[in-house]
Amino acid sequence: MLSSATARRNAGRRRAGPGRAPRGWLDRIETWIKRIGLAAALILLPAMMIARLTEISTRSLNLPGSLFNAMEAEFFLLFAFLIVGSAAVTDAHVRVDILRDRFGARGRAWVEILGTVFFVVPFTVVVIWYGAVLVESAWSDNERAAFAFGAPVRWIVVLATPVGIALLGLAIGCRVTRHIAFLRGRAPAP
Amino acid sequence: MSEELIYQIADAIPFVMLGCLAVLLFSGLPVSVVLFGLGTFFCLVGILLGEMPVPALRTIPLKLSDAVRGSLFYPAVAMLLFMGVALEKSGIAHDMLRSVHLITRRLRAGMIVAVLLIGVVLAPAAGIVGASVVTISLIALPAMLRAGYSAPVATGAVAAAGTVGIILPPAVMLFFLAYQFQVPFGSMFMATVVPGGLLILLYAGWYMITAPRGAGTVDQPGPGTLAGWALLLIRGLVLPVALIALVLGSIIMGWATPSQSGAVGAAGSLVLVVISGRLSWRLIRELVETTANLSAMVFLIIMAAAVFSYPFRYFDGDSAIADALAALSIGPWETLLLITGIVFVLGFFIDWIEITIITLPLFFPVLAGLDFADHAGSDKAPMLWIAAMMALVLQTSFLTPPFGFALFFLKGSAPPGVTLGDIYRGIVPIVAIQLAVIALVMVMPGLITWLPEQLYGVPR
Repeated sequence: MLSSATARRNAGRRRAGPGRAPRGWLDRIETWIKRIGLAAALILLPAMMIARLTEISTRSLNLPGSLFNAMEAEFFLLFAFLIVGSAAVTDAHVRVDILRDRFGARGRAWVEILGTVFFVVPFTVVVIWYGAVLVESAWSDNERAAFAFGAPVRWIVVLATPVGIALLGLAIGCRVTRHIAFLRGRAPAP
Repeated sequence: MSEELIYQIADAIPFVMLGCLAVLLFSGLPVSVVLFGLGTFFCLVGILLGEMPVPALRTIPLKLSDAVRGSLFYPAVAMLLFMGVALEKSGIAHDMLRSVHLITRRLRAGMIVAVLLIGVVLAPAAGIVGASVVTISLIALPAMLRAGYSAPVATGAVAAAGTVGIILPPAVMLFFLAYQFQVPFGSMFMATVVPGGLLILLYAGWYMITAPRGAGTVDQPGPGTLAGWALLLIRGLVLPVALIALVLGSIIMGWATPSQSGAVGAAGSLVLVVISGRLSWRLIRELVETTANLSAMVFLIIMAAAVFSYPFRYFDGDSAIADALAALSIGPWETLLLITGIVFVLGFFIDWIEITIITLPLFFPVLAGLDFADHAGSDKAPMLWIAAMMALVLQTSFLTPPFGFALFFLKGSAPPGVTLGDIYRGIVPIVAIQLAVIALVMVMPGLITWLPEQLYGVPR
């Protein structure tokens, strides 16, 4: 199942591969969601790796822990939320696709549309709405992480949840728009 | 609506949620979408029934971030995925097969032994079953067929090699099992070493006895010079084995905690890529992109499962499951076999990620209540024993025809001409070996608990 996700991801990469200029606003939105995910991964994966390695070396050398060590959990949180949207663009999220192939292209399109209307939209709205409430209260309280220096402002981390889920919702929305265009005979099956 | 009716509906919600989950998973929607969609939907149902306060919705974004922050080992999962992807994409896995085969080529079934060893070293990549089966199939299957192995023998060996890694340390699945069964990561890592080693010995033994003489011994020209040999062995064998030894050794020696060891593996794999001379901006981008996509897939399911379990737990789903199993009034062995059977069947359809994150927590309270202290040797040992057994059961389930999904990946990545029938015929002896080893560890829990006890003492 996971590797079929890999296959789909590769197929997705071919479609939006280098050398082909993005066409239309759907392509542009998807390209940006992917860029955000890639940028987050390129910055945060090395950051997490370095944070853990310095943690191991400072501990074995009996040095005091640094701010950077303590931020690993925050790096990971940002990483996890900022990549879910780009993975949805390339359709990397795992599906149980035993029956899916039998639905036909139109059936699959309908399943995606209904799933988005009944599942993705309510979830995204709830997370953005109540996530924004949390961001606002963290901002107004100027809440800070419970670590010395207080430097990592907590609201940035709180902001990761609604932003990440908004990117996910947007990516799924783009995909569903393509399915609708397909059902109306205006585009090939995505 | 009468209050009585509302109570009845609220009581039924956990079962309705599970029923909807079972049906909708097969809709082909992403698993994470089904989970968070049902979670949100049933929160709204609870609010409409007046059984849940509206501010409960505020908990959903908190559940998401808490799920990601839930464990220190999560960042290590991303690191280990990076390590596996790096070994695969940089061609190091391919070098490994070549160099190991040059050593084992004089053995009967030498090529199969080489493939099995690759499966062990690729264990962290094997965290994702499909990925490791496809990787090994792509690098080894055409060569095995050319070398004269029949399609059933070659595919059976690849399926075994591609799945055995998921139960060997530092495979990602073991982190999740340890977390769900509340056993120390170090003990979990060591628990599967003896049964996993036994499996590999039995696979190798079977093929050494049954593989046709002469197959796999076709000339594979070795490097002409001593220096060439040394270089190939260092690049293809010494360094990758040293990397795995470093990851495991750092845990055993206490330099790094299991959750820190992932970073050691990731950094080490990057050093290997540099040494192999294949480092390029394009490769780095590909590694980061693939790691991000795999991590996103895993962690969105974790987040979505937290959203699903919120109304499920709110309406007492946990105790409902335990009560339902208790109502069957069967003994601990029957309960264990029943749950193992359910996990085995689920493994046909869904990957270990969903099983360990969604299903096992439902059964955990029941399993924790089973009295196996005498059988396993101490009070805490039964959880370790059951967790390691679940790992074996899941691996077997991925291999068992007609549904075992490792077999479909194998078919998808095999050269044309290899039929699903070949794969089914080839897997029969492997499944027989798996079942024999599972039966053995059920009867002799010491096979699982001995090594962790030697290293970490009797669990208390």
